[in-house]
Amino acid sequence: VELELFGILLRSCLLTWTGYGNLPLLRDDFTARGWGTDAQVTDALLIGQVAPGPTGLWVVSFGYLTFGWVGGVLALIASALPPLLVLLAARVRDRLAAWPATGGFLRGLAMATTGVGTVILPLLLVDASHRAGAAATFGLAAVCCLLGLHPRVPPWAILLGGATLGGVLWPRLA
Amino acid sequence: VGPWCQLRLWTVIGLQSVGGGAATLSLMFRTFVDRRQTLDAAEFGRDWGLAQLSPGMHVLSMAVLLGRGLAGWRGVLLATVGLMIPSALLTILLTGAYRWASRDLGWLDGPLWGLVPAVVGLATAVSIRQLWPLLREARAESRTALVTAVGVLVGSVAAFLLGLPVVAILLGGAGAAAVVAGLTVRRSEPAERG
Repeated sequence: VELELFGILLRSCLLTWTGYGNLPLLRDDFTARGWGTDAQVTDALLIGQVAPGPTGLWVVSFGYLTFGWVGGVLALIASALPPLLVLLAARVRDRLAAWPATGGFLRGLAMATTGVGTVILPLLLVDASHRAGAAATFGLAAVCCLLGLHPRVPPWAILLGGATLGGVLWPRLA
Repeated sequence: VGPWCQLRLWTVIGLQSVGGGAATLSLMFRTFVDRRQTLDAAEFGRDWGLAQLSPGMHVLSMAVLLGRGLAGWRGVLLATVGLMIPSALLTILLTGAYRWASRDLGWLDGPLWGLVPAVVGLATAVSIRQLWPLLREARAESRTALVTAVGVLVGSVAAFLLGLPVVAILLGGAGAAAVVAGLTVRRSEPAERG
């Protein structure tokens, strides 16, 4: 079972992009085998949001909820391996560094990533604004962005400030 | 930067990354661009672009690239271990506590709501801070390079709004910029020889 479990976890992380990209694949594989339930998926997503670290660590929580320590450790290994493939891309980049097209490709990639992020980031606020109002949500995001532009304001202080303000304002906003 | 220092840096980044990948990216930017100055904002932006090409967690791919730049294979290992293991351990402990507790986490609604705009604001700040150096660099290179960079930026926004797949947008934008850069150099070479 452990080998099959690892294979499924690795496949779901290898065939998808971003931390939550593997969610549909994993949910289908686990529920079809009777290894996990939708409630466990939801619990793992919630814990993944509260816990520190990259969002993809929700898989570790899911692994632990379904298979205990073995599941948690196998999920950690499976999610840590696919990102190493970026080293192949980096190697190709280094080999072709002298080509002018390589510089253009990398700048184009960075610009396209920023462009897509420009649209995705405000979309992330939509759900939060439904729960507590658009003015408060977008206003808080704008303040945090301005603070984030200042190199001397530490990110942890902005995150802590946001969470604290959320806790204080929530009874009035929700 | 010594191995213990690297491990400590990655562990701190991982443990402070509450709210997901955008928070992790902001912390990496602050640590390696602002504080340590191991790379500049434009290089950071290019590495972040390259990280999008790998499967799985992009912030971990980015950490792998930064670790490689710091200390080769050893840096890659330290980045992966430092970013993932302490955070994963804490995730497992929280999962255990959650299973054991009553599961009534309603008191977390407010702080979790407040975290979302904070993380989005931080990520937007990083995007802005890495965008300007890239545009400045393109302007210094040539007018064509600047027009191409702006064109890819605007085009990728439009393509995403039209519902095109993200991978296709990224590869399309990068491919178009590569073709323009290649053609620009080919055209300028005979003129330089002449």
